[in-house]
Amino acid sequence: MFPTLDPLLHSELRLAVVSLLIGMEEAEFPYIKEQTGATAGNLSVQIEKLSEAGYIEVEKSFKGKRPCTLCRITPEGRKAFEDYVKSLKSYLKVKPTASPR
Amino acid sequence: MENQEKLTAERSLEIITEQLEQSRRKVSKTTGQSLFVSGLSTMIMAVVIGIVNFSTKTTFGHLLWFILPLIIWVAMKKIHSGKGYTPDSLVGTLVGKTWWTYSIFVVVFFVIVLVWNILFVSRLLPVGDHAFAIVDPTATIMLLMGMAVAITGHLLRSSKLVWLGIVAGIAAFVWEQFGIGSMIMASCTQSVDLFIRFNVALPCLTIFLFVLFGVMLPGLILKKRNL
Repeated sequence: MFPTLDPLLHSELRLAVVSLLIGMEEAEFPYIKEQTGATAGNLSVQIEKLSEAGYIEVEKSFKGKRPCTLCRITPEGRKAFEDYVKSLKSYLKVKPTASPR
Repeated sequence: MENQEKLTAERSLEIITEQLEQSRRKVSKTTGQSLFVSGLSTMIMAVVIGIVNFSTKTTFGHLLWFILPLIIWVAMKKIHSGKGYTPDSLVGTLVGKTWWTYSIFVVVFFVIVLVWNILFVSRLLPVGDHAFAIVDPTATIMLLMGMAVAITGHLLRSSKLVWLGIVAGIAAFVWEQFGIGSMIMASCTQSVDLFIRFNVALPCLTIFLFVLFGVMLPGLILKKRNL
């Protein structure tokens, strides 16, 4: 029986955002946008979803006169990511026998 | 990147690896640049101090090492000023903390050695005992630097950096601590004046060579690896 993959993380952009943040203390919105190659609108929506789930923390402030959105991963997000990777590993272990070429 | 909800396990793994690799590459590049600039500044400083010591026949030129952190800090500021925002990664923070700890050890150790050598050894001990009591800071400082380079290599998963740090650190320590350079020089030169001049400038040559192989070269390797 396979463990279910967290549906919130099992999406290309959200997974990229969390994978990016896992190795960082925090990152600004434009940086995440640049690294993931996503559009600003799409990224905002996905960040909002991750934030609502408590996986990331979003802090809005100002850098001089420029608005600045900082994102950082929460302990819950870190735990969810670890569980996701664990589940992923079990899928990959069985994969060669499950779908032989 | 669009928000593709139907992901295969392989694609998920690919995304995770890609993002982690990207962030590791960025940190490696920044660290490589920092090692390169610090190494170059240290080598230039070693040449200047070597010339000062050689011409004055004293070791007071070593006091100039205290301005090296300032030079490196200004150089780093200049390099990173036009580069835009780069977030602090966990690996980058660890590398930074390794070098910050190294700097604290070196500065404190250097001050203790200076106080010991100048105030205690030369004033309180009989002249014959000076050679045994004087502490040579260069050997220990380079051993510590070799260790910092090796830890940086481990953090960045660069075995070249690890080995260059270990080999250069231990080689410099042995060379300096056991006075191998002085012994070679004593057998090569007949003039006492020239021997004294070379002897006070010798640690600078050791530092120059160590930094070239243990700091600047690994920095260049890291920089090139991530181009």
